[in-house]
Amino acid sequence: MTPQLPEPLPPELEEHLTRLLGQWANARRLSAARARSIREAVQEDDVWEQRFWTRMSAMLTPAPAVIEHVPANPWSLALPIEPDLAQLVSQSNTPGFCPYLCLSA
Amino acid sequence: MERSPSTQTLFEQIYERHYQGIYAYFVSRTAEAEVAQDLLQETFLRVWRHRARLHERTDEQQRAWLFAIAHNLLTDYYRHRATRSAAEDEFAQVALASEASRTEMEERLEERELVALLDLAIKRLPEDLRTVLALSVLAEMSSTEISTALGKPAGTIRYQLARARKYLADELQPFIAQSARKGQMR
Repeated sequence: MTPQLPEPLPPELEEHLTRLLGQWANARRLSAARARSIREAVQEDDVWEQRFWTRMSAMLTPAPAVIEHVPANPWSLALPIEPDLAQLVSQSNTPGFCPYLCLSA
Repeated sequence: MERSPSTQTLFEQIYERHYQGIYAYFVSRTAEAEVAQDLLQETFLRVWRHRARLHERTDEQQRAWLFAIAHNLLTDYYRHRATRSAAEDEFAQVALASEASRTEMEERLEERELVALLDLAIKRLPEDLRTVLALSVLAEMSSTEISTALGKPAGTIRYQLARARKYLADELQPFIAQSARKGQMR
């Protein structure tokens, strides 16, 4: 059961209180500019997240098994191995060796 | 996720309709504008991520859903803080400061001081009354809308609003009288 409402305030007091609360509300409301920037941040955050997952999924997708265009001098590519080791391997003349490391020739 | 223009437009309409209410809710519960803005952003981020389902809800359901998200975020916020009493202590300290400087405040009734004075008086309200008052005054929500948002009967909301205003009127009566006299002199 809802309790009984308190006695109403005298009209003059009620009027002044309403005016003061109106002033307070004007000062304390979230500004339209700030509200807009928050909304845009929400939508931007989502765009950023989508880009992030697009990139992540591209990175996690397995590389194609066949490389169609092998450059004439594969050693010109930056390989993720030490230069000394690359030189050693290139001098080894290992049959079937492919400098792409992860692929067999 | 699909992002049809109509869904985006609907999201923006919902944001425009409710941001002030959600913000008022957080202001009333945290007493910190910056925290309230962060929580407002987090609320709508969750809405944005589920925007495909916005079409399924009526206006009332949307309001209830938004405030449910806000309530959950607030619970998480307080869980992450050391204790809820830390926030209550802040209110108490502000209230004490208010008592100490009351005489001084009586002498300065310009708008900024009045706003600060109202801040203090509102912070001293019990939490339920503070929330209802903030939703009514800051967000200009009706008793019915507040009732939907907080999941309480509209009659209870009206009662709480009347109590909050009575409390504030008692608290501010000397200042209101002084303000009224100044207004008559101008």
